[in-house]
Amino acid sequence: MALASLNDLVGAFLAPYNLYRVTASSGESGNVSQSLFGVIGHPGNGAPPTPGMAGEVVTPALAGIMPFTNPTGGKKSYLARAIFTALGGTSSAHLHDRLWHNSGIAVTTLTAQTVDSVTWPARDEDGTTNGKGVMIALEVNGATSNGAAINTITVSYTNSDGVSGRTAVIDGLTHSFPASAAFGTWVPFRLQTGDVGVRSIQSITLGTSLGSGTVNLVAYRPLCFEVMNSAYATRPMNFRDTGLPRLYDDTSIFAVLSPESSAAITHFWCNYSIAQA
Amino acid sequence: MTIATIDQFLAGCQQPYAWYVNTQADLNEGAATWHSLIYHRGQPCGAVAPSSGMAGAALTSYAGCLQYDNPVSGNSYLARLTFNGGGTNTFVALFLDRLWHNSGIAVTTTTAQTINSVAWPARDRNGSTDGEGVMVALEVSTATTNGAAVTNCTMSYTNSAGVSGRTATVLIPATAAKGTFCIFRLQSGDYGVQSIQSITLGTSLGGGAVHLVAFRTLAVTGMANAGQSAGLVQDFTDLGLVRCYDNTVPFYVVMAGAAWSTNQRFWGTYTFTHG
Repeated sequence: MALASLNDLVGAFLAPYNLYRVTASSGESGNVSQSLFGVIGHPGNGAPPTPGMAGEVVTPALAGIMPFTNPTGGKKSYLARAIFTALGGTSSAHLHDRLWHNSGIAVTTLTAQTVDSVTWPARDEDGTTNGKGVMIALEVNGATSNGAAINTITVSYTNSDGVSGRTAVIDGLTHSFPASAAFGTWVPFRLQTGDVGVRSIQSITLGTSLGSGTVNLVAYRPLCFEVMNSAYATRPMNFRDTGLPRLYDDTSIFAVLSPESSAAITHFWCNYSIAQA
Repeated sequence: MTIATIDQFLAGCQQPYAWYVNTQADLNEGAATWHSLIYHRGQPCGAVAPSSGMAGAALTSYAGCLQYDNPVSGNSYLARLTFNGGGTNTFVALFLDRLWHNSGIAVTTTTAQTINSVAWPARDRNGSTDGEGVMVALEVSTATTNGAAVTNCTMSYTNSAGVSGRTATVLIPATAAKGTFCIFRLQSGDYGVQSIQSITLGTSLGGGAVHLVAFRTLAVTGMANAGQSAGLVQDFTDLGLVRCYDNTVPFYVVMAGAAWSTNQRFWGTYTFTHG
């Protein structure tokens, strides 16, 4: 069974969820994203991951992740609507499915550090472990002390087609790792040309010391985003706007905010609904 | 019965309720602070402060909150919501169900004060008393006189999974105006409050009167840009056909982009469908 008509949608809405985060930006300069996973609010915040370099599969049981009820009776889940608000400045808000994360990256080691990630959960675009549509980012859970932005970070990975030896980069062309990155800083990697997803991570190379602090890798599947064009822009997104992305069992939703400037963003609120049919 | 088709949705739509508020100068608020509209003048609005004692009262209605009528049969769903306002400010607005509130908190006592809240009504996210998705705020009914923000106020609660001994935190602004609505941040891992055991202000509020309010968020709306043309109209595809349980007590909480001017006007409509 699946959503095949507007009637199906009418009968499929679950009660909406609310995600509220009090302080949603780190004061970094514009175009530096902020993961809201560890920020206080409702639900309670997540704690910095500690599973080690090979990481762990993330499920809704993890503190900081939104609740999710797996459908029964052959039904499927879809992100049916969302509305985002925040105070302070123009930004874009993103909802992601957090598939995997790790810990233990040595922030002063410049050479390759083995990751050899455990198998992703079956939550890529197709509901498999292949990694189609799965992206990776570096998340800061303890502020770093690098005096200048860093553009030398690489990850060796296997792509969603199963081809190993691929290189993802933070090299300044799309994103830089900012100087003295604040807690929550979120820096996506750019995949090697031609790739559409990551199946597994073999190693990470910082290239330049971060000085101190704590960073971890996160594998995630983007679900939706909305641009908030001014403080409190609250354009509601319905099913036509979300595109009804499929949510697989144990989808682990969290939010990332991308402010346009260094203006502090506070009181981020996301109200969204899942449809199951 | 439940609404499962467009035809049922249309057949069940009720007449819209309308409301308006014209804020009073003594209830104006600064920017970036949640503010309850129930104490302002308007239709309905104009609520008096709760007086239900420390254990509070499970609410089935409250004078000054918005109108709600139980369905004759079947369920009730939020079908449509409009929100607008005048002036030059921007606002976020939360359309809430007020489940419970209390009174009697001693504003100069800095140690733990027993609450032991009575059971919530069965109106959490799942229509139960467990408290999934239920949030709690400290609402001001008489302005406080604390000269600086209070950052060490905590609430001891039982979460929606029934685990007691949880601690929520909140920031109370300096000289919080009547209507200030300070939302507690839950302990890591929690997604709702089932009951409240105590509150510890931590720092004296000097004077005034405050209350705890348990609520469920039904919808988020607002004015994206200043001016009367910037309000939002949301239909059921925007709202998600939110289930509203019997004896829902709707009210609005808003947050402004800048400090309010006197006579800030808000208005809107809300519509339910029954089936």
